[in-house]
Amino acid sequence: MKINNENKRAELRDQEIARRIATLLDEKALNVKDSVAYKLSYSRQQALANMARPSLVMSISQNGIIRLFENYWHQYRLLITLFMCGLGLLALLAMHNMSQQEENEQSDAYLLASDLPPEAYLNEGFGTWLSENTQQ
Amino acid sequence: MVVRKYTAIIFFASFLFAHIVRADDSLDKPWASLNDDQRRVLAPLADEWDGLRPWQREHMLEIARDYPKMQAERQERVQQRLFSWSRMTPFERENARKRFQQFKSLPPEKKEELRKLWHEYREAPPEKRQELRALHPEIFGTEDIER
Repeated sequence: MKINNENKRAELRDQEIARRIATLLDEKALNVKDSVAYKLSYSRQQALANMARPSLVMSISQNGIIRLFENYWHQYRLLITLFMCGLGLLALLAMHNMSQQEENEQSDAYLLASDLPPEAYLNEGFGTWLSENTQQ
Repeated sequence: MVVRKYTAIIFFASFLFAHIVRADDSLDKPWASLNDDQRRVLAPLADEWDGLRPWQREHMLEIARDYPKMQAERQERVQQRLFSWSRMTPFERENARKRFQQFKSLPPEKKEELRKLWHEYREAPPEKRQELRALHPEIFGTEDIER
């Protein structure tokens, strides 16, 4: 019971303070200079326009995915970063493919297609020559 | 808990077994079961294909797999050499593979030197070839081995 009364009193006190502030603002607003009034009005309009924009984009975005990403075009830094990451990834893939190709050339097809005929590798003298020259 | 453990083991074992069965299937491929591309590449071996050992077939199928990745000139060489390659003993082929790897690890200038010599040899008439063999027996051997 006691707590309820205290809460009510605090609420009334807050309302009184709010009323005084509103009265004070109303009184001062009457004496605001034209230039200040114009700036305030302009700022309000800007704030309202900004609030309205997302709903506009959302309504248009339903017509196409390009509109959905329209806002991201302005984030060019993010785009450049993504682009660079993509390039890096492509370079890595290319390098991986090259090394993979080297590894894949293990099959007999590459032996048969080489500049030397397979029979050349059966020549013992050539085997010795190869051993000597690869050891260098 | 125990049931789950055994289920996992059975699942894993069946997965492994399926792979082994599939690998065996790929080795045992009669000529009739090859696709058109494989038959075209392996045409020089058509008559003796069904008599080849499974591992020989596997190697040949690898050749057919890599064949389309090559340039026309290299493809022609593969076709020309395929028959004599299949006639080599497993020991000879293994030896050739080892030496081919050695060839690949040669310094670039040595490889180029060999390529030039073999190009010259291939283009030369029989008399010139004989001369080259006498001059470089360590490269060309003592018998004429390629036209």
